Amino acid sequence: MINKNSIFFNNINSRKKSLLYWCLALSALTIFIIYMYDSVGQEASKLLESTESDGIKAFIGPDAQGGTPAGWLGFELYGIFLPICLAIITIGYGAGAIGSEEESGTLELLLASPISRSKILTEKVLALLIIATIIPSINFVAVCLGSLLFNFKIAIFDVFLCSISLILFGIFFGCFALMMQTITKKRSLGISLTAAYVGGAYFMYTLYSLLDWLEPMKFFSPFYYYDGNKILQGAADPFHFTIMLVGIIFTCSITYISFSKRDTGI
Amino acid sequence: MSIKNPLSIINFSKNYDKFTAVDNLTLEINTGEIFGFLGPNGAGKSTTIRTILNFIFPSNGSINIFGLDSVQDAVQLKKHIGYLAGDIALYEEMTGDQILNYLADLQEDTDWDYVKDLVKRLDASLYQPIKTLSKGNKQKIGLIQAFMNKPNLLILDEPTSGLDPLMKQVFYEMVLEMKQAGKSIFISSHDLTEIQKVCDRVGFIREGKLIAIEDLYDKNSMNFKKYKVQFEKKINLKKFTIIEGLKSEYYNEDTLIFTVTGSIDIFIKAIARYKIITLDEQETSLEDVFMQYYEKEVQ
Repeated sequence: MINKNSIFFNNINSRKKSLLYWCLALSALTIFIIYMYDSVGQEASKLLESTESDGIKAFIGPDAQGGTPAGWLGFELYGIFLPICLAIITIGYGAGAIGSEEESGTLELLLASPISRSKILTEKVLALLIIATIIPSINFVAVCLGSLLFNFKIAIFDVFLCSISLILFGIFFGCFALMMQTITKKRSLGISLTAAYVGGAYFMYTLYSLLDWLEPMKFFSPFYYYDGNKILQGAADPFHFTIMLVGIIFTCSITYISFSKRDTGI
Repeated sequence: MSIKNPLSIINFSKNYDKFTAVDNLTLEINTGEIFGFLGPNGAGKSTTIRTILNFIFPSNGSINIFGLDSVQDAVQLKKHIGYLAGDIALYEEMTGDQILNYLADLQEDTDWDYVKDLVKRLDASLYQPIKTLSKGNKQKIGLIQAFMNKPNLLILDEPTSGLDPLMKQVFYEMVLEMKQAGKSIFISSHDLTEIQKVCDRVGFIREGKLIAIEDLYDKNSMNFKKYKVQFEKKINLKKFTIIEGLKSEYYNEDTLIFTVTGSIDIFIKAIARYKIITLDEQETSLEDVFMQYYEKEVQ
């Protein structure tokens, strides 16, 4: 039974309104994009296919394709837009999970209670998992609903896999932000450093097809392992899922070590 | 775990790079004792408390609570410690009731009848969001959460901050009840009067160093008072400087401030030789106490 006074539940509860607004807005947008496929999607996809500019293709995503519902959904939603939205949410939560309480001083209330630092952190990380899961899950339901309503022919299993990959992507950046905050002790620095990594990772991912010297750098980009476009086109790579999982475990481990060994407070 | 040896701080130091916040502090409090920890802002009081509670780690030395180590056994120990932070931070969006329930669930058992009693005595507002409460009302919630599990060791940092005189009195009663129940209380403050009201012993800390520990039941400890005397006309200060146990300084032209150590008889006899307009006892400040210790050290 869920204890509604737990740290986990308290963290979810304090964000329920903003999560609800995000879910409603993104679901409505998803259904609208699916609805638009028949009217403008085909044309936009043809435009994408006909463009000869490698730069434009790179910035849309190296694997973006048009002409199919999967390509349209990747181009409009799952390629860049949803991962960035989810990263914004999870980075905000990750950096603030300990950071906000540390800055406001409420962390002392928890630390003065008979619970270990690792338990506090575990409940915060569990809340992050739920927060990162809710939006892709609701969006998945919206895609299913949209495809039924507007005869949008897409492989639902691929969307499901893409949602799983998106969840891992969101969790990774949330954990990365949490790790940066626990190391630097500053929430704002945690957010800034993680946002810089998101920006850098995005450019590594988009530009590696244009610049040979960037090719090895793609392996440091979570966008490369997430790659919603490829998954929607039925080319999910289990190795990429595994790498993201490893990244999550690594960042969490550093966070646990750092938080349990350091002075808290401001 | 025994409730004996509630707190032993042994050669504790805390350094931040080159700055030493607390320097080689050693003190012990006894079971059923109210110990005051007195010092100006930045003296190292909060650093000591935050280390006792394992929020920060000692650079040197160790802290034992009920015979257990404050770092290794932190989780087990906190079942027996109640804590009120100085300038307490509470969850602003929650109500007092929600906060108490939240924190109670992190503990083992909470006696809700006792909590209700505390709420009633402190006249606390439990059903308004914290962000709408005054500092005093937030302090009441903080006090309730510190006391609510009837801890064997209470650590209170500036506990009466923001409380009105009536509520301060209620707080003193609560503390004395805990003492009667055999609990130990560690109160950090910069208010000498408050410490003198409730504490059995007091430790003075300044610039990270423990200057002295005094037993407040010992009549000879901190046995000095300050008086402001207005004379009919200007008196030469030199007339008093030779008298042992008496220190004087000008307040203004015809008024002197006397610090009297030991018997008041010498002081009364010394000023009785002149015509006095007014005689007022002054509140002894923390600064005065520290000055006394410095002078003792110099002597």
